[in-house]
Amino acid sequence: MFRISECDNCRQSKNMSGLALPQKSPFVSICVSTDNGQHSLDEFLERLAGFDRLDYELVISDNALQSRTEQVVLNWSSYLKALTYLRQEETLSPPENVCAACNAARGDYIFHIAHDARLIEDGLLAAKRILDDDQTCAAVYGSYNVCGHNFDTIQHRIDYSSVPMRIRQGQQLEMYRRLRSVELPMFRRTIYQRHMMGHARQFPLEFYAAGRFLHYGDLLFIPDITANIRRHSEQGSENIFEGRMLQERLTDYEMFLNEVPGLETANMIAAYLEKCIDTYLTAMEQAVRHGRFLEAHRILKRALAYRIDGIQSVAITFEKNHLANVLAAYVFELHRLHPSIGRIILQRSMRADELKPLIERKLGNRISVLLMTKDTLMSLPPNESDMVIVTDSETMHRRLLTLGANPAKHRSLDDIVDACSVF
Amino acid sequence: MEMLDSDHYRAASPCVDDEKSTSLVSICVATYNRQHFLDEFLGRIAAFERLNYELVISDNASDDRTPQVVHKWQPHLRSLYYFRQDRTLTAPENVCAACNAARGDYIFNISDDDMPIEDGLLAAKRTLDGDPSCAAAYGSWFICDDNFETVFHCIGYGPEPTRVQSDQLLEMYYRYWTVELPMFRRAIYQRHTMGYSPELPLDFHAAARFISYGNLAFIPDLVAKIRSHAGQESRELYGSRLLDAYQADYELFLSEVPGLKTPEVVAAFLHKSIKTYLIAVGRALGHGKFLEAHRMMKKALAYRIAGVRQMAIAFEKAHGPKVLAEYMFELCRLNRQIKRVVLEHSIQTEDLKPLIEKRLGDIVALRLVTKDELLRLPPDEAELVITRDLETMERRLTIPGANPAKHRCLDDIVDVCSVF
Repeated sequence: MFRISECDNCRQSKNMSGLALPQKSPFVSICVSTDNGQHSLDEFLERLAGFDRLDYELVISDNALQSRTEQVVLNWSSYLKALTYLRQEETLSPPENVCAACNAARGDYIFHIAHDARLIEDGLLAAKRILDDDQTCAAVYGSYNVCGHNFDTIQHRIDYSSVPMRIRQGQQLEMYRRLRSVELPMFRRTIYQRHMMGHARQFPLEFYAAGRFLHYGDLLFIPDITANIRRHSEQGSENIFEGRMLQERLTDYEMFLNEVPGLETANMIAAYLEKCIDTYLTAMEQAVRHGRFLEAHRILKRALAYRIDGIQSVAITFEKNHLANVLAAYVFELHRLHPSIGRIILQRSMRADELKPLIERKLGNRISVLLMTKDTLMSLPPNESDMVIVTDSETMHRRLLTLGANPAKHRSLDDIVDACSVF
Repeated sequence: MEMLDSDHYRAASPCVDDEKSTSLVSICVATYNRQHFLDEFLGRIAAFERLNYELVISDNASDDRTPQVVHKWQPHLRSLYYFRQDRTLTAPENVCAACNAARGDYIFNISDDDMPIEDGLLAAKRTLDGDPSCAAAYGSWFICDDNFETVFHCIGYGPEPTRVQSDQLLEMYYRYWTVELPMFRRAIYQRHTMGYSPELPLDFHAAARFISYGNLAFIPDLVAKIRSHAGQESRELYGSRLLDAYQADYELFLSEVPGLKTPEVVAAFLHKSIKTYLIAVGRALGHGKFLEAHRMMKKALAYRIAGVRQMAIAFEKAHGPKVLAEYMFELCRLNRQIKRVVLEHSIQTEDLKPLIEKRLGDIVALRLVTKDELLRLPPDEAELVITRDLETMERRLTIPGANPAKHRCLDDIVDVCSVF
């Protein structure tokens, strides 16, 4: 479905055929890709409807999901300056949906944002003003706040620079090294639609995009806040410990570095590794925050592989703080992958005492965790619904030999500790 | 028909195989909604007469007739342990689930659509039986067509048995493209590897873990025929998840190799990574995913490694027009309002026309028009207009009502679709 709504003083009401918009001045396409987030979209549109100074069109690509999205958009259409609403016929991947929205933009500039974020009109006006006034500028990156779910707390501010900072061609490697990410640009539509692979999966636009923009002009980083971003656990950027997300990040670095002229292999590799390891460590921290201790463990091992100074001490700290959680997660996985396990029986030891509450917390009320002395354990008859974890492999062998128990339902804590160590 | 319990174990009486060995091989199979493949697979296992085995099946909460298929074959199998997951796990998790439940002396994990070869499994088992210092035995295997009739590739590790000791890990990594389908000691897997690893099927990282507890034997005997068919995730190497699993495998392996310095790790990682990208290019091309192939090629090019540039030139020569056609198709796919692509006539577009038509299929029409016609054609929101050059595009956009989002120029598309 395609619709252009009632427009403001610079654009006129259009019918379904979607005639072009007569323009008095440059305008911004605010591009939003949406799926099933009708409540946050409602909030988003309400806020946008209150913008009275920014000259904009809103482009929404609705990802063909069953929700009231279309109705929500219709409710607000008469309050928005200009609206293009696309409903996909089949569900696209999130990056494809972003591309769909940006491909449909007709403004002079594009600003892409998630529908659960909050736009700041003053910041957008500041970014637009720069693009209006300076034809050599390809994209403007404003600052943004990362907020709590209700925007009531600001967790941190992504500030590229306290004063406007210009990056020119030739400085892209410096930018790449200095900034952890380069997100939320307002950029010239023509650069995107003419010179970028709209299908790219590196969205949200990051280094690769910045590299492409730099081919066609300068980048400007400004302190003005363009948006408040809501942080929540489902965000891709909050889950970079997942293989797909991690690979997208790494691809972004490679694609960016591929575009840097004159870079030799050694310098390229150094630049790549620097970001790659930094990303692994960020991914590890995110995994810990999400209670995904096995993923954190795995990513830390990947970082350790490169034998780079400083990682060893990060790993020592990780092990000190989180080994018990990794062990508990490991035991939980043993249960999760085998639905018939009804009890976990731990041989009593100091470590087992420490682990028990952690394992219980992970398991919830689903199965019981029992502590037993070695003697009790050696006389406990085998039971297929028990996972028995003894202290050492010698006890495990004795139990297996004496009782003819199922080896697949026996582990030793010493072995688990060894398998769960990052070293 | 009677259903199997969700956790069903039928043990055979202790068996001595024809080589007088009582050791037991756990053939571990993770299955999900593939009753026909599984039926065929179980029929083959049921015909094994000499191998002392138990079959461990982790059913990933299939909603087809998987339990009935297992039930049908149960009386013909020597020993069977079937259990059903309560909820669907990821594919690697389901492999772990099967291997975690094994109780044999050795584990051989294989997919339910493949064909294990009894002679080869016996040879691998014999190697492990005969040498307690051997942690895992890797046999050869064939990659075949859907009916196992045509052999596409023979994955072999050499005509003679080879041993790899712990100080030869890096040499092994460089020598073999992949180290798959091992028969390995259950105790090493269950005690010393992280059973949750998403790097399964077991590859380099697993080999490094095995070698911490013994040497590795590579034998020429054929242990399996692997079926290659559409829909296998392992063929979609250009997908981010799988690509990351491969790279993680290299890194985790290298993290286990003692005494390496940073430059050696980087060199070893890139050696395999870039090769993986190039193979991913080939796979993407094989699947007609030209934009994915283009992306993989750019990733490989980023490292400025000798030889990759020549491959990129050859790629562009052979597949450049298909990348262009795919790009245009994507523009239409992401905006279903587009019903027609209007292309300015030129020698280049004349050549491209059949390719683009084929890619667009029946949903979107293609029309070639001259520049003059194009400049007179009234704007239509159902059309994507592709002019030859920027100048023509800009002239056309001066027509009242022309939508810039529905206009592109071929020069730009050619530029953006180039890997250089």
